[in-house]
Amino acid sequence: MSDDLSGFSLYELFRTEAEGQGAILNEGILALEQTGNAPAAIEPLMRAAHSLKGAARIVGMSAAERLAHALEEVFVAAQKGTRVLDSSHVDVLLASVDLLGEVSRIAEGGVEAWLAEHGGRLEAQIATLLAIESGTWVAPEAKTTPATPATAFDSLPPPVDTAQTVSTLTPDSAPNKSGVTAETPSVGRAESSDRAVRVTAENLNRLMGLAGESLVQARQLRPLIDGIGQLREAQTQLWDRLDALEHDLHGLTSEATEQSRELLVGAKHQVAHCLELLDGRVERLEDHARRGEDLSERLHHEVISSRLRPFVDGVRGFPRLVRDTARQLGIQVRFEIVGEQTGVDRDILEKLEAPLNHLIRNALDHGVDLPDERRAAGKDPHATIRLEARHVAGTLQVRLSDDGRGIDPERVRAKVIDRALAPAAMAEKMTEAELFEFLFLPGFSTKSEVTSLSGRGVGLDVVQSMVQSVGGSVRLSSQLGIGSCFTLQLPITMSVIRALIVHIAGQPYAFPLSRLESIQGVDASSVETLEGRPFFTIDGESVGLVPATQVLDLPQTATTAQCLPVVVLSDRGSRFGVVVDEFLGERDLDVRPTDPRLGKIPNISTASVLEDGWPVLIIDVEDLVRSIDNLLHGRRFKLAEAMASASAAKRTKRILVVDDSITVRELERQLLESRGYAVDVAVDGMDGWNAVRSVEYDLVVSDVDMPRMDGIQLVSQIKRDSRLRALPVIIVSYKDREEDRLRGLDAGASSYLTKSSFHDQRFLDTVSDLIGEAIE
Amino acid sequence: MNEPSKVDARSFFDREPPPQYLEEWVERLAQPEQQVEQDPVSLVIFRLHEEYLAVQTGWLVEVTLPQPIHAIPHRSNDVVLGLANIRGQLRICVSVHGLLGVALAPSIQQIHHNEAPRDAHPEASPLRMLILHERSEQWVFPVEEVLGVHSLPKDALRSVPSTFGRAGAFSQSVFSWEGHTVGNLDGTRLLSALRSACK
Repeated sequence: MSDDLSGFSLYELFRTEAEGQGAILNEGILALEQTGNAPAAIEPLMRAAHSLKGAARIVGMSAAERLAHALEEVFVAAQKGTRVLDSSHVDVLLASVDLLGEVSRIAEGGVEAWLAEHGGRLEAQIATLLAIESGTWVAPEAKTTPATPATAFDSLPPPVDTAQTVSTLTPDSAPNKSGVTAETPSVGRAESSDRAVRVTAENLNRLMGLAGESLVQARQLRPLIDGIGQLREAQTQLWDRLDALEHDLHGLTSEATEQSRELLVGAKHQVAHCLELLDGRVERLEDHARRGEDLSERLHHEVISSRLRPFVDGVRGFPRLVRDTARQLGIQVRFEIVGEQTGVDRDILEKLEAPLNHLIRNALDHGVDLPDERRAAGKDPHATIRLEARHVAGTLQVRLSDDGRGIDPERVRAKVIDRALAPAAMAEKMTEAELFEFLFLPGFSTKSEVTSLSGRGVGLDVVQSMVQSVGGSVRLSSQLGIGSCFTLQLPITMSVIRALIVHIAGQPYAFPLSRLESIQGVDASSVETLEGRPFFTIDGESVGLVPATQVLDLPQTATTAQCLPVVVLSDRGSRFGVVVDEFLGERDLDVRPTDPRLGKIPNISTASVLEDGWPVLIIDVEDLVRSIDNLLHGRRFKLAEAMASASAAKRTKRILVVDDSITVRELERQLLESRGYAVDVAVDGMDGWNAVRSVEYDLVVSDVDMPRMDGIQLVSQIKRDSRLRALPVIIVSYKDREEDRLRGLDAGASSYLTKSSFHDQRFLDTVSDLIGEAIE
Repeated sequence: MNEPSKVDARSFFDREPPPQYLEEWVERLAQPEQQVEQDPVSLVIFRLHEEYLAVQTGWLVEVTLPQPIHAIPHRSNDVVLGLANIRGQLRICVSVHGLLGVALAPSIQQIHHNEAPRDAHPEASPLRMLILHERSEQWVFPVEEVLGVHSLPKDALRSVPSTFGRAGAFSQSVFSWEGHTVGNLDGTRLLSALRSACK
């Protein structure tokens, strides 16, 4: 049963995708008539057809796959300029999209029946498309082309087709044979019952918050019960005193004492009764508290785990994709999935499917070598493609690796130079990692032959933009002859992380455990100072010490402790000790996003809530290490001082260059310094954002694709800040499509240049247009 | 057929009104117009130290007991106090005192600086947190006291005197309530000032 359901959901997925891509195709094809065959207009069409092809292959709909492929071929020809699409072609293209929509709506299992009836129509359509592509098609001038009714322009099929689809469906549901109206609801119902279980992320967030809070509230009964325990204690003491009093009165005999004794006995009875009542109530309260806590804990756990789904849920279709494709290509592939049970946020899992699909096809088509080649290279003729998911450093890491032929950086370099994407001198100096970045550019492909699988460069850029849309990043590493590996780093927005809770300035903060090197109690007497900076020694290495309050810009906490609690962090070879107030222990935290109104808070990644209801901020270790580095080495502080003294004499305009490629950074720096500007550099958007807020710049020059914070985000942040709003930003990117340019300018960039502008004066001219010469 | 004659028609229109009809109407029209309380304004009245302020109830989400406020590194200032856990949601907590330049009563200073433990007896103290919203955006701020939701006739609201201090800049009107002059805050202005303080 569950297998059937999972198959059904894949099918549903395909249907949803067909709907979405069909709309894109319809819209784009219609626009072709107006805009002509501009490459920018054709590319989304190519991409939509390509995605549909892939999706159809996953669900094994070869009819749809072939149709989509034929469509794609036509768009490719148009993009190359070998075919010019005019109105007569548009008719055919639209009819094809409609047919594709029709095919995608065939009920699962009904394909055979449909093909028996409409196979001829499908073949004719494919043949027509291929004829257009090869240039042998002649527009039927005299004949009336199949009229395309207005309804065909949206995703609905023409009315006639609906009737046909329905008629093929009818045999499945015999009781409802009363025609079209009886059929539609049954399809609609299946869909709506599926939708009913979908919960929006927003809803789930609120549920999670409430579940967490109910746990907090339930646990707060505990101190209340303890308080009642104290009351009981006091009552018992009262009893004891009365007892003692009775004892004292025992020896005395008088009328007065007799009366007192009676009163005393009454009081003792009263106290005994109170104690009895109290005991009964406390017992019940305790019982209630225990059950309440248990219930809240279960609820909390359940809500949290409802966000997470095992990784394998999102990748069930891939083994089949790999097997089918490998057979088609004549290669032998072993496909392994590691970390099947890794919890993945449901939203992310959903978004991962398409990029992973691209990457797997990519690996099969580009990566894996033929069995003979493999034998010749001394490798196992069975290639291995491995898909791994795990939690690393508070993020979800998904790696797709193959042991195929790898990527030749020299070929990429040649292509970069060939396509004039960068000056030859610059390209020569690029590292492998920098070169591989080019593979993510739209339209950049090193594969010269085109197959139905992949290889037109409509792939990696799509993967990148999809991953970036969920706030993640993709990196590619490869060794020629040994294999390639794509690493997707994704946030776990709603996941649970294990963290060390500490107090800083009297309030709780959390360090993700995975990012900690160690924690130490450092004896105050073992702290030495060098040039006024404190440090201590671990394994013979001096480690600089920084109070957390100083890095986080919080009020200092007075401490007299002999033993300093120190969190040791390391990043890229540098090691630091962060002094906190105290360690509070390890906890599992359900990560909650911070309020978007706050933007990215420096040194903080997200937040959570502790068991006692206290908010806790989760430290962004990468950011913190960088801040400490800046603090200790006084890079920016020294700069600021230098600036102050320089401005007294003659002010030099200062520019911040933000780029994650050291080659580009250095090139830009040299160009700008040759004109007399003072230049600082930042290695990514986050670093840049921290820099613009600590030093006053006249201009920022930024790349777009960078880890942690990309250029677009950086520009938006700057433009949102009232003090920085006036700061001009130039974006320099490899991406030269109009939509990329618009995205940059929309975010608020003053100018958008491509990296080819380094060749000529354009880059420097733009700079001087914006801010004038270096010294005025 | 008996057509009604002109005379019939005239006598119909010229007929005498029933007795007392005119008097009744004269009396009714002579009455001063009934003070119908057309859309009375519903306001939440609260106190910041010695200032009495109000905001239209439509802006209110809820009133809660004081919660601990977690300072935000690099972000907390006079206006932005930090994050507070409101029913499991982390909300930005701001200081309207800071925005309006109102002094902090010693009791509320504790909340601002988080000296009050959560499990003290918050019910006993009048300190509360007020949560306002604009669409899905919520703003939380501590106040010394919430004096309830009150309904006022619209014409009880007067224009803001120029002497009304800094709160005047955010008030759209003032009114008298139990011997106090209360500033009726303009929610839009207040929240947009808070919003820009967050940046």
